[in-house]
Amino acid sequence: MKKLFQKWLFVFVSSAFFITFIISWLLHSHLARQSAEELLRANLVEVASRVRGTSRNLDTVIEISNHTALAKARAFARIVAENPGILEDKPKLHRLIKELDVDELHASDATGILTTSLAYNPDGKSLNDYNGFDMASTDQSAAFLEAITNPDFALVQEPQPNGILGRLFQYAGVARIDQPGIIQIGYHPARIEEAMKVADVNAIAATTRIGHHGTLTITPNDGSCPAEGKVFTSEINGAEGLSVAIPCEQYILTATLPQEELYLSRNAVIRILIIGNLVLFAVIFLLVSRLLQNVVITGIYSVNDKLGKIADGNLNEKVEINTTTEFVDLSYGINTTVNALKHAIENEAKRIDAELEMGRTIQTSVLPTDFPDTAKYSIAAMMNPAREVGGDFYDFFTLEDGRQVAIIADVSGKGITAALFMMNAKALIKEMVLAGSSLRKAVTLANEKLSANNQANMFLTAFFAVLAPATGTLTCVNAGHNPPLLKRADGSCEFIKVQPGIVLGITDMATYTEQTLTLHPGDYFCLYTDGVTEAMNSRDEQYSDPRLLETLRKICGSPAELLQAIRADVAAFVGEAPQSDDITMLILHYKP
Amino acid sequence: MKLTITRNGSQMTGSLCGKLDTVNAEQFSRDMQPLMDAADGDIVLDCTALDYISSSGLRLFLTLRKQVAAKGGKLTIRNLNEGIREVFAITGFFNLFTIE
Repeated sequence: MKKLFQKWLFVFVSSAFFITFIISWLLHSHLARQSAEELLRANLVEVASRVRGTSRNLDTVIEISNHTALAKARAFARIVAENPGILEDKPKLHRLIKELDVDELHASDATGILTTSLAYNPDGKSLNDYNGFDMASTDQSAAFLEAITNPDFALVQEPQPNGILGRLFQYAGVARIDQPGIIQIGYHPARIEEAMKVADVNAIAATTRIGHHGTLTITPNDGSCPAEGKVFTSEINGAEGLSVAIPCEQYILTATLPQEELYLSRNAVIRILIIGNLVLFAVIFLLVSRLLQNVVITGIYSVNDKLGKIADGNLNEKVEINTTTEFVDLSYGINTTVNALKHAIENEAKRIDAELEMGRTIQTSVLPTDFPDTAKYSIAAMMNPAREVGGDFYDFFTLEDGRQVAIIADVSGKGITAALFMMNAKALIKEMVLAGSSLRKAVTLANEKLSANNQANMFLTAFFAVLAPATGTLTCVNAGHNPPLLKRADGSCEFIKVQPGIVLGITDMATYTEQTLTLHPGDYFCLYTDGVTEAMNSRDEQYSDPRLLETLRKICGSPAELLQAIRADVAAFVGEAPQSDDITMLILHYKP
Repeated sequence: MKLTITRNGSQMTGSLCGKLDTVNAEQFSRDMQPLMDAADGDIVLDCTALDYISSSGLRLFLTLRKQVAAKGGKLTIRNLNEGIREVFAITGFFNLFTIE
């Protein structure tokens, strides 16, 4: 039972553990995904605002820078108009280039050929000579040719990489005021370069952190933004990740968090949960097991133990388990049942005792007690029934011709059946012997009647003796009984060699033979049942034929005295052992 | 008293051991029920280890004999010791049983 309980407890506890684990796993997976989404979205919003901010900033810087450049070009044109000689005055031009904070100053004639040109190389020291350069010769410079014909012309070019170093350079130009021609300044747009650096999306992407190991990619918006604002799984450098993408200005911003990092917190929680749950469930399992052991198992074992003792016959055993109300009830129930059983058994025992007493009464009441004591002979007999009614009996009576009949018999079996069979047999035998012409015929007839309709297979062994008092002639018939003893007047003792004869009641085909012997004055003829010779002591030894013979040889006196002496010797031999069979004897003394 | 029943083909052998007295006759009558049930066959009572038999025991032998006779089987008693042979002789049981 304990094993069964523990098995199911284990099943339930592990199921609970498993279910908790699954639910936690799903819940935390969901939470992790949700928080990852939020993180990604928040990052994207922030990056998008940075991208927009820097982009606007760049526009502003470019606008201011362009305005300044145009102002410088117009100032140069005005100075040239008011003082055309400056174009020939190198020192003044050098001062002017420094005051205007530009790198190049150019002026062309009406044909677009540079007549004046002062250009510092990127090192800011050496000079480059562009004098005589035809503005129409390159696309970049040709854009300024319109200034020759249009006095309102003003142009600021896009910053472009210049020279071998690819240094960013920008030109601005206006029409000459003093004559048709081009006035142009060139400079390195440091602010714009700086603003462009700041606005470089690659730099933004590189400096943005998404969680610990997440990445931000910025790609040109070719109109194919994947699932705008929605979460999708992606793969970066072979690692699976969760991504969110949004379009921003001319870009697509994609924030990605690797799966590993995404589920980092969930895995940590699950680990703690597993350990915690294992400990918790182990404690629950142990506690419940222990409780079960203490409250139920021990009680049941105790009840079983007591029931075992009760089943072994100890009805005085009491079950007293007070651990729970149920056990108190159970104990009470068992005790009540056992008590009722005990009373029933006692009543039954009383009934059986009463029945035994009745059987014993039947058995003893039919035995004659008026022992004959004539001048020629005397008879004494006794029958000690065992506790359980047997079927021994003796009988004696005189025939019409004065002969004395003595009978001893032993009915097989025990109980009321044996006692009733004995009563019937005794009456029948007496009737036959009294009516019969000979003892042999009487016995044969009695056997036939007893054998007929004997369903219980009862039978009896018997020995019949008829004494003719005048002559001492003893006519005997044996029906399967123990051989009688003869104690001669000279004190010698012997078992009489009897003719075998089938016990009475088994078969109606049996025939019996008579034998005669002669008693001399002073002889004792002794009949007994196997209750005497087979009386057992506590060592399972039998009283035995030789001992009976020896006892009889040693004693003398009246038949009654002999009976008492033999009975006393048997009792001494048996000692404390219970009497298992009736002890019956009959002694006929042929007086001297 | 102990009765061991063995089956050898169609023959059933009951081996008796100890004392068959009035006290344990009732138990023996229950123990020998398989022999009673097989009374239409060949039954052997092996009395090699039977030390003593009371009249109650003899009665059970008779019961078995009667059953065998009714069902058309065969009952054989084997290996009686001297004391029991004597009992069988006195009671005339020798004439009732097949004794080997």
